[in-house]
Amino acid sequence: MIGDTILIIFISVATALLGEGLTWLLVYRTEKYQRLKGEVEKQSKRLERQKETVSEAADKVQKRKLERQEEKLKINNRDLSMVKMKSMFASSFTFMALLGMFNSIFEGRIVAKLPFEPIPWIRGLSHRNLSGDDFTDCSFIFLYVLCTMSIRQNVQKLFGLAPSRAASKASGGFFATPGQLTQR
Amino acid sequence: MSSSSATSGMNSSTSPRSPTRLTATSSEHVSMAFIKRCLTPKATWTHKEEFLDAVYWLRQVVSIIIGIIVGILSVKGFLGIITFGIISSLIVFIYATNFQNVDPEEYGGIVEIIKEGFMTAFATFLVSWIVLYSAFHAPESSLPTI
Repeated sequence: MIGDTILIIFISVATALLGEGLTWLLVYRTEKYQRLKGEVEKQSKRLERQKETVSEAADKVQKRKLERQEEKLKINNRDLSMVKMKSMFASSFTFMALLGMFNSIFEGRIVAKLPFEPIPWIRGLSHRNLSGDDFTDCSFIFLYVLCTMSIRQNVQKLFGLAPSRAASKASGGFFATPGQLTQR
Repeated sequence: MSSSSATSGMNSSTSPRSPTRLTATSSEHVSMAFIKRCLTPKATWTHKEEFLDAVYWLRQVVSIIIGIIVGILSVKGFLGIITFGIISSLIVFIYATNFQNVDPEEYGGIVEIIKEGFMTAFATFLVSWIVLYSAFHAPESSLPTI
């Protein structure tokens, strides 16, 4: 069992590295992405700073200026997500296939023992394809998802590929819906 | 805004840090200088991101350690999760307010600092807890028969 557990951690490290490598190849190293990212980060930081300095009693002109900048930032953010989207599709298809393959390899195998009993709505994931009703048995998919959650984010951070906080805050998450623009 | 200024901002994470606040760096790359600064009491942080990154990495390390300890001690159930929540938040709180002595208001309140990287750290904690628990305490009978 422990062998499986370690193997799954390796698999998720490998897929995270592969995924980020693929995205780097398709997106991060492109000039367009770098330019957009630099712009978005610069704008969002400036906006944040301006928001701090502009008091509530600020005159209309200043507020309008601020709004205009926000709009510009949103457009840039949308462009940025569009650039990313292309590789997102490519890599998600690859990983779906890989996941399917691993899923069939580990089908019906208990890969780890959970030290807690998962709440009912997680059991579908943690006990997937397992027989018996000992809910502390852990399926491949649950451990893989957990590993990916932690490892992928760390890999991104380690290589400085994660979007800056100011940028994600300004866009309300990296994949803010373009619909936000039309609502204003 | 010209594109050349944007790209120079991108590269500034590798160049020596200037004291200006407005540098369009992305997330901090983990370098020796960064680690050193994280471990220096009351270090000077040129911008918000750096300190939050320090908190993020501290939290990751803490969650792995808590996960290993809790796994070896065979703690079960909700107690493990609560232990992680309380200890990691407390360590981050002490790190921010006492060790680095930053003004929480600059970062949008102490809650924002404590929330930094919580979900990733929680996943990291769960993985290390589950792995260690499975390695040391899983009953042999539960080994799959393939």
